[in-house]
Amino acid sequence: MRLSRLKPLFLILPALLLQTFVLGQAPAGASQEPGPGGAIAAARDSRPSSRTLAGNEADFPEPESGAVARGAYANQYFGLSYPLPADWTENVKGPPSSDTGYYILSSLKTADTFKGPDKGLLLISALDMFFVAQPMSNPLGLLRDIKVKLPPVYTLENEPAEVKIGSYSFARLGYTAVGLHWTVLATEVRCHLVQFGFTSRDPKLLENLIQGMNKLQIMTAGGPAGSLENPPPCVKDYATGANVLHKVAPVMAGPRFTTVPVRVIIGADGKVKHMHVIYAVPEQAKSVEDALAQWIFKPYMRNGIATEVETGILFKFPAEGTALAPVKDKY
Amino acid sequence: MKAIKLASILSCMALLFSGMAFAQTDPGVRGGPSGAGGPLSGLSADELAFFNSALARFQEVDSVSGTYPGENGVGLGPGFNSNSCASCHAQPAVGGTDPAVNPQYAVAADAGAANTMPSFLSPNGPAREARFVNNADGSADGGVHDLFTIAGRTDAPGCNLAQPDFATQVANNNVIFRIATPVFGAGLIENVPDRALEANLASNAILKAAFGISGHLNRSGNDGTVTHNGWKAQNKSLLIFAGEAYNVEQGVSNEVFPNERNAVAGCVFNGTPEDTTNLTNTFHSGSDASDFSSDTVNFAAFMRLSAAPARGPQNASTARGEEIFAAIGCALCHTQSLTTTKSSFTGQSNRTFSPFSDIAVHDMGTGLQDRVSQGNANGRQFRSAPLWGVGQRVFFLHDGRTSDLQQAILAHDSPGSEADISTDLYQSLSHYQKQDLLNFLRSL
Repeated sequence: MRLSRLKPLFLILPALLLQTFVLGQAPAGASQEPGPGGAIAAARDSRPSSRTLAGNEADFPEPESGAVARGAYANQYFGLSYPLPADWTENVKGPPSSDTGYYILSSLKTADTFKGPDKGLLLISALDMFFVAQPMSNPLGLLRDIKVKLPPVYTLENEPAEVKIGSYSFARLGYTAVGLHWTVLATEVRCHLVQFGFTSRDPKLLENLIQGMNKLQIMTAGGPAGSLENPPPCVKDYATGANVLHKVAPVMAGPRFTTVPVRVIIGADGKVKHMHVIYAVPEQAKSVEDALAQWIFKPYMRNGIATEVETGILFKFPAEGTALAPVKDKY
Repeated sequence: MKAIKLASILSCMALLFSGMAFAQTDPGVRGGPSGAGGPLSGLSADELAFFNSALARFQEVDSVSGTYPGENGVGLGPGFNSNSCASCHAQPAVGGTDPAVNPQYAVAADAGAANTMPSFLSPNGPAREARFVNNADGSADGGVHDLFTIAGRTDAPGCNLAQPDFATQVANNNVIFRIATPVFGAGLIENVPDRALEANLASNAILKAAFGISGHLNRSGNDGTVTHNGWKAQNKSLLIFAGEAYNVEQGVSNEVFPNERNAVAGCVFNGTPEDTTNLTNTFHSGSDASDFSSDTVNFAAFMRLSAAPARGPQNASTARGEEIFAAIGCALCHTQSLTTTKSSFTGQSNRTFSPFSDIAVHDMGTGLQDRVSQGNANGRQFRSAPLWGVGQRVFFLHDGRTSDLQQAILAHDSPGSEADISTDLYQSLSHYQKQDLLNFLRSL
């Protein structure tokens, strides 16, 4: 038999075989009972919140407000635009931002129409460097830290290194385990570590995706001061000590022993222009916003000129030293 | 030529059918010895005696006033979900979780009780408690509403307490369910210091971020320390856990929760608290500590001195599965090892054990949400369920919705879930790898 006559069989049967693997997902004996809850989120669940006190609300996008539209993921806060590769689509939405300032900006995956041998995932995330639980220096330092602490199951594929993606600097790290490959690209924007985490069984797919990153755009400092193209400088711990001229403590509300991280943009006049509560139950968010609206700061000076500044404040509920009545644990 | 062609077709067909035959499956409840339910190793003789007596007390069956034959525990009802701790904490041994046959069917009709079985229970389904999400006025409820009452029992003459209207609550999508959490090794979990849990949660924050994982620890509203117990890590101590469960699940008021629930006229038969410290020894069990202690203290002692479930046989497949478990990020929440701090019990200080949990609560998304907030855990957040002993569990997830381990894994994937990426990675594994992972989990 000539090879040319066998060829269709070689092509069709492996395809069938692969299809069988894909179809073989349904397990036996699963309960058909639907889970409770449906898609209703309780109104009292923690979530981000924001309040604008001066200026136009539209001028203050939030990190979590990015979206996929017209074939690209766009995020105004980070000035970031990432064209989706061909045959990629949105994955399910991630959880809200966390109490340590962690955001899942977008979760992407290869679509059903994708023709490659193995599928892939891309998680675009951000860690607020003001609130993250782990001390942070810069993206390369962070990836070096990952390398040191990488669980033993992983094998390093790419040492942490600085790379250029288009005109932007990123730190890159690659590792592998159980036939899967991970590449992490990290950069710093507005005092956030923005990460692109690629995963696939196919290392070539990862390389192609990384090559495709040169279409990425991130905000530059070329726009008018305070505009979306030129956001205010971010300064850690600016809202401390003598920089705070007047402050009002939030009223105790909601559950106890929680922390509420807040990003604040302070105007050149020292008043709060905009605040973004990253994670809080609604009553604590309101309490923080009501209090912060009354705070007055020493204006931030840059080159001798008072200017806007972005900083972070961590509130604790209850504030330290608050006398508390006992509560009953809820079974 | 024809022979070659036929052989080629046959070999390809064989390959095809081998592919069809090999779809990964949950191996099912692991057979063999339970390897669970015994005491911690290294206890002193007195501690061991306390454990053994507490184990017996954990199996005590309650009736209304302790007078019904074979049910000499006091205080059942007026509302209840079962009449003994061990009825639901039963699989694979006393202290475990829901057994394959639902004990609530027998309990509901015991001693002439006239209960109707709610639609969400079945004879071979999980034993469940029910919580209402909201009150009638729309405010948050979240509390347990007992399934059954003592009305009609021969030892509760004159009690007419009706069961809640579960049919309406189900129709209004206002009821959620929980099953029993296994309590093996609970004392080890209780004795992990806060700083260790905080450090574990903070470790590898950047790696966790690459998997979409964050999470936080639930804390006591009284002293701010980490709470460890329950589906949402909502209970501070095993004593509180025991006292509240005794009151809520069996209707027995006690020294921790001294007031009777559902205390309607005609249904209250005992003084409160119904379970107290014993001033005289009527047990003579061999442990004075147990005999003089209340049931609640005994329940807590049983949990606190109970050993971790032993792992089943390991092989090449389970070893590969363990690697996969770590690689796809499961172990970032289901932390393999924790270590206790200094302990008051003999030989229990600085013990490293393997609960496969970080004790933190994580957002599990809309698919698993129960819309009930407890402490600092909101309606979508649950404690990383300790996976030790999972190999011998019949029902999975907080409400026991599935008996299929793979379905339990896939249920981690829904909008808002921190486990979405790990579940996607599970989906990307070969069938052989998935089988290895399932085999590993069933070896725990």
